[in-house]
Amino acid sequence: MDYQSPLAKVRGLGSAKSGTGHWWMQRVTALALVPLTYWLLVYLGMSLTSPYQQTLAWLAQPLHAVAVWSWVLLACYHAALGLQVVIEDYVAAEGLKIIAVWLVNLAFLFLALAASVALLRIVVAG
Amino acid sequence: MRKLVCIAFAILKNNKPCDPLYETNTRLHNLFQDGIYRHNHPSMAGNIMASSPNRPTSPHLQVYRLPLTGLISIAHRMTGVLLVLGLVMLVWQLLAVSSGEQAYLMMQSWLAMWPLKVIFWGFVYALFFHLCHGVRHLLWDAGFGFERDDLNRFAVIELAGSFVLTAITFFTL
Ligand code: HEM
Repeated sequence: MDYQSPLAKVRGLGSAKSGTGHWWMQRVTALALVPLTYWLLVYLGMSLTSPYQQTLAWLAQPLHAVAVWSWVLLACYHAALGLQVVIEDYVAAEGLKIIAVWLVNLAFLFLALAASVALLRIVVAG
Repeated sequence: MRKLVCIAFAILKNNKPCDPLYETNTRLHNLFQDGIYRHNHPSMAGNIMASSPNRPTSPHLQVYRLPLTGLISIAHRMTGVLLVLGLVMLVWQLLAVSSGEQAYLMMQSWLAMWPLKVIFWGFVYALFFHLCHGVRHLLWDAGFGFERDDLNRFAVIELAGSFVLTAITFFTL
């Protein structure tokens, strides 16, 4: 017995799926990353050369913390969307494609969480 | 001359110029040359390649020297993928900063070594290049800059721009 309606069966199987939203979020994250890159570079310059306390104090300021944090989170989202497109272009086997895309998504979720833990610890300490 | 080589190859590969697929591929190829080729557009080569690997093809990547715009297009994709490695390293760096002064000093001494310095500046350059071409993508999406002259001018601006931005960063960081 098959209780699924024809609509339920095809839902999520269409070729485009949520393509427009995907495309749009790639642009939104890209646009947001442009100004935020300034603070990322300031942070990198500081953390590679300055004393520990100075870097902590800089990062503990709300604007700086939010800017660096946003950069990392948006970059994770943007890169997950981007890698999905790359995988879809070059991986032909449907099953492998789906697994690869979800592994990528999980990996970036993990990265975003790790970065968040690190930044929370820094902000609390600084 | 390029066209001749292409046709010769097409005939060799049994893909005659009257073949509709040849036409499609030629049209795709022209888009590619103009740098408007989109890896992720549903109707473009990426998906055709992925869905029917045995289709007859006209030679493109092997025969043509890509024009500057085409090279930049593929470089944007490569830098996007490479930047992911940079992102992983950044998160590792943040974890080090969050793990106390000793880990921080260790991280600094690591990143002071020249191979890692080279990688770091490679990351900065890749980031600026990807950013510049990304901004151009956003301009395209807004409907600007599709003329051939614009394409070539922007290609040069992007390359120069990412270089200058990296230099500015180098001298101010
Ligand atoms: C800093 C500002 C950035 C801007 C303005 C930007 C812009 C863009 C744009 C507009 C696209 C879509 C290209 C297309 O449709 O073909 C794109 C793709 C991509 N981006 Fe970014 N990006 C930025 C940073 C990053 C970072 C930090 C990463 C990685 C950690 C990244 C990874 C990717 C990847 C993997 C793609 C897919 C490449 C492709 O489909 O060819 N981007 N980027």
